[in-house]
Amino acid sequence: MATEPTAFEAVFAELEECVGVLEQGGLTLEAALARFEEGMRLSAQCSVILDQAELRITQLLADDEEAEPAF
Amino acid sequence: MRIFDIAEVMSYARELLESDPVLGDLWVQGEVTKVYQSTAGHLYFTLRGASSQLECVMFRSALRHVRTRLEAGQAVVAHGAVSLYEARGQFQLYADLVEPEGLGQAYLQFELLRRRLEDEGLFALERKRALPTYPRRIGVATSIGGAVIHDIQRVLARRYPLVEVVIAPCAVQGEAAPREIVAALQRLNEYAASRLDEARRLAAIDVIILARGGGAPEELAVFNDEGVARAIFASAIPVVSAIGHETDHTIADLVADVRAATPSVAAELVSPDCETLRATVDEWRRRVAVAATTALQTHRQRVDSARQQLLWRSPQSQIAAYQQRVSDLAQRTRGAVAQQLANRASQLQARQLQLLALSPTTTLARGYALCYDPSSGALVTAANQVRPGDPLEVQLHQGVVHSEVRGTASSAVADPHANPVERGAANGHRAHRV
Repeated sequence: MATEPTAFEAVFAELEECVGVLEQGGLTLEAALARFEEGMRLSAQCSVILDQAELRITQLLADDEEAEPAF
Repeated sequence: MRIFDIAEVMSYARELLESDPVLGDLWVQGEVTKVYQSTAGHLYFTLRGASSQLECVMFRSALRHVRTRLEAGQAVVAHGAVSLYEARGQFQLYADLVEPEGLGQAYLQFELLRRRLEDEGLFALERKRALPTYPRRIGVATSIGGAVIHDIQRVLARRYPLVEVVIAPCAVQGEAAPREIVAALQRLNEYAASRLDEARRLAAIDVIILARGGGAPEELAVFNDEGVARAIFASAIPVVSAIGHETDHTIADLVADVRAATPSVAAELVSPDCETLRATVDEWRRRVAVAATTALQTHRQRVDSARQQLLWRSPQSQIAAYQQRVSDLAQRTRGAVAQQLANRASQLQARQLQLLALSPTTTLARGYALCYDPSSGALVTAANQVRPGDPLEVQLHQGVVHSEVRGTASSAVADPHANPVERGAANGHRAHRV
């Protein structure tokens, strides 16, 4: 079985949440700094996912039960 | 011999008619006569042939598909099922479609299927599902030989290379195509179901593109196939149709959750744009930095303001205040003492003036004298205090007279001028008091 495609959506959503929490304010200094580091890490992770992504192709053949890489 | 009841006859004949495959799915042509619409909304008309006629009824439910009004004299093709209306012993066609003659069989069949599936709710808008925003896997049911799959791959590689494309190859034209398309859709659904992430409720395939490349227009019939329509409807995964023609909608387009004009457009519809995402990520990164800086400044301001408050509450200022009070009090004390001293001084002056008024010196100046006993220094105020021969000092306003008593008389003072003391000669200079 093929590995799960990278969950960009999850990281992206985490980053969005991070932005929201930070912008809402009211955090302790430690929490704000931790969120900042998290935001930097998540955005870097998003960029890496976007930069390194390469389209994967799988074929589902009628006769064959297994999915095979195509092309 | 058996004698039948009328109802039995009718019922028997009706069942016979309705069990016949030809009469149950009948296309018939003729000329319309005697059109009549009942108050209930059903349409009654007669179809006439060269030498015979057929009574027809079209119920209100079927009538809503009819766009043009049926008129006597029209040559039409009707579809429906023949049966018996028992109450009147009437042999009639229950029509579900009446179209002008000459439209072609493909159109008539398409129209009939479209109406039936629409009535069943296969095209219902409320059934259309939203496409995923960030798909993980995109299923593609199409022919593997054509340009279609390359177009889709090219668009996805450019826009959203994060995705995995799962291709279920199938013929999209020819006799085997409908069956292969149905099988491909089922295969994609089975693949997704077998890899369903129960914990995260993530479908293994988020969306399916059913695509056809170029090809003869007459091959569109494949996508007007009822089996294909039902397979799209049955798909648990949203289906985007990309049949590759701009004008006519196929049945597959109508059942699909979204219709795309071309396979490339379909690929764009199911994928977010990477560049937009990059821009969004950059924007969010910037906002994270700004918000964190703001948080930092907020905390710095809180520290500053706390320090300011500390300064305000510092004992330094209290000490200064006390110093000020002490200095004030000292000032007031000094003022009060000076005032009192001044008061006393002025009182003293007043007393001095009083004293001056009472002083014997003043009296002496008026001519009175003071007599002393020089031995004791006591004032002599009565004659019997001295005897003749005693020395007597007489104090005048100016100077002293040393004198001696020659005699005394004890009378009280009657006349201030009758001075009993004889004035001695002044010695011309101030005498010492003894």
